Order: sequence, then C-alpha cells, then structure tokens
Amino acid sequence: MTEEQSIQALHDIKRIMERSTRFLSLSGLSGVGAGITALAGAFVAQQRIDYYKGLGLRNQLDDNAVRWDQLRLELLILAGAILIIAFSIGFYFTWRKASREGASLWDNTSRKMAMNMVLSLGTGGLFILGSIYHQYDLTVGPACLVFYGLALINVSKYTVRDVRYLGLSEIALGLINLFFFDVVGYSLMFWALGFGVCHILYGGLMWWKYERAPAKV
Amino acid sequence: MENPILHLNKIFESRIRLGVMSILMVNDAVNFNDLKQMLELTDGNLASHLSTLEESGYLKVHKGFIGRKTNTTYSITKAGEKAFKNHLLALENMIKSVK
Repeated sequence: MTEEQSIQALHDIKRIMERSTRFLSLSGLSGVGAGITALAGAFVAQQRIDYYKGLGLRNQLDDNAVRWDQLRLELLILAGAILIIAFSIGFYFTWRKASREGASLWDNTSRKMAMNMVLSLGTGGLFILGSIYHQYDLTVGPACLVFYGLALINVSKYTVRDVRYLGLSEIALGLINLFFFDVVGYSLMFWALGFGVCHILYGGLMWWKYERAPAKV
Repeated sequence: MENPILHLNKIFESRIRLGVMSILMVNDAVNFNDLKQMLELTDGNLASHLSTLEESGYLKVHKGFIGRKTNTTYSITKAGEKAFKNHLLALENMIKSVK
C-alpha cells in the first residue's frame, strides 16, 4: 500500500462516516424560499394588524374584544398557511438537490432528522397553541423562535453543521424579544427577522458554500 | 523503526469492507438495505463481504422482524472496533513515515 492509497482510504472512511450519519442533501435554497415566504407572511400580517388598528383596536382590554379575537384568528390561519407553504418550498428544493445527487430523500439519515424535527417542533407547536388558548399572546412570538431554534440545534447532528448556527440565532432573537421588547407589537418584527432574514442569510450562505460550484461530494 | 505496514489489516484492504466498518463505527445498528444503499452495492456483493466480516468476528448479525418481513441488522463488535482503530492508526503511521 502506498502513501497515496492510505490517504485515499482515510478520505473514503471520513466521507462514508459523514454520509451515513448526516443528511447532506439539505439545500440552502430551501432556507431562502422559506425565508421569503416568512417575510411575505409577516408583511400580510402587518397589513391586517394595521387594518384593525385603523378600526380603533388597541389592545385586548379595549371593548373591542370581538375584533381582537377576529384578528387573532386571522393571524393564526395566516401562520398555518405560511408554515405549509414554507415547508413545501423547502421540501421542493431539497428534493431537487437530492435527486440531482442521486441521493435518497428517505434514508437512514433523513429519517432520523425528520423524526427529531417533528418531535421538537410538535412540542413547540402544542406549547404555542396552549399559550394562544390562555391568551398569553406576549410569549407566542418568542416561543416560536426559541422552540424552532432548539429543534434546529437538535437536528444539526444529522445534517449540515450550519443549521446549528441558524438555531442559535433563532434562540437569541427569541430571548431578546422576550426580555427587552416585551410589547406584542415587536414580536412580528423579531419573527420576521428570525424566520425571514435569518433563513435567507443562512440559506444563502449554505448555497454559496456547498451548491454554487458543482457539488464535490 | 518498526514496519508501518505491519498493522494494516488484510481484511480491510477491500474498500467495501472498509466502508461497512466505517458505517458501523458511527451508527449503532444498520440494516442490510441501508448498508446497500449507502455503499451503492448489489445484494450478492454486499452479502459476501458481510459474511467475511462476520467470520472474522468484527460484526454481529441480528435477525429481527418488522411485521412479517425479516429485518437483518448489523452492528460492530468490540473486536471489530479495536481492529478498525488499529487499521486507522496503521494508515496514519504509514503517511507519517513517508513524510
């Protein structure tokens, strides 16, 4: 065995270990797409909030309780729609990348990643629905960011490492929102920063790092 | 200085067997189909390499069921782990000795 063969063997080992534990077909464009969806959604949400404010709605202690409930319902439906659209777009770009690489979208690694994601996001989702139910509107935005951030850190073991830093950013934004800008009005801004801007930045970075040039896997 | 090639393990000279061991080092238990998919191999090819590794005592076979379908999973043994680490060290020494 020559030196070159030894290096090649070590290289193979590293590559196989990575490929068998991490789902590397995650596309940066998935992040960008989800981010744009979130920004568009936040814009629509702001429009609706402004509309209700125009009707004289200020806060839930007003005698406009009916309108307040109506706004909350609208925002909840909007959030659900954003979630579905963002996931569909995210799924599409990752599916496209996986099929280009000839990788399977449903293998050992993507299974682990999906299962861990569903577990953390499901917990967060129920927690947030509970908060909405009890009218703790103040914690809804920060809870979205913090739970999503924890979910990302959790799945970063099974995919591209950059996801971990995206997760940390989401958590930081959620906590800053909760501690320093504890007025419901700011939540939407932080939400747009976390789900919109961060996704676009990290997604763009991942695309730049791994996909811009023909993939060297 | 001792001969660096001394500790290179003959069994790991095959890239496929080296691949199987690499996967099992970082995954607890992997089934046949996942191994096949990760290494891009055919059934017969993979099976013969797996039995070589099993005969050497480097991996354990666990035959289980998912519903009525058989699900055979493979995991690494202590001996396999040790052999693999020694092989890695030997590869490393080999590179160092040339420099």
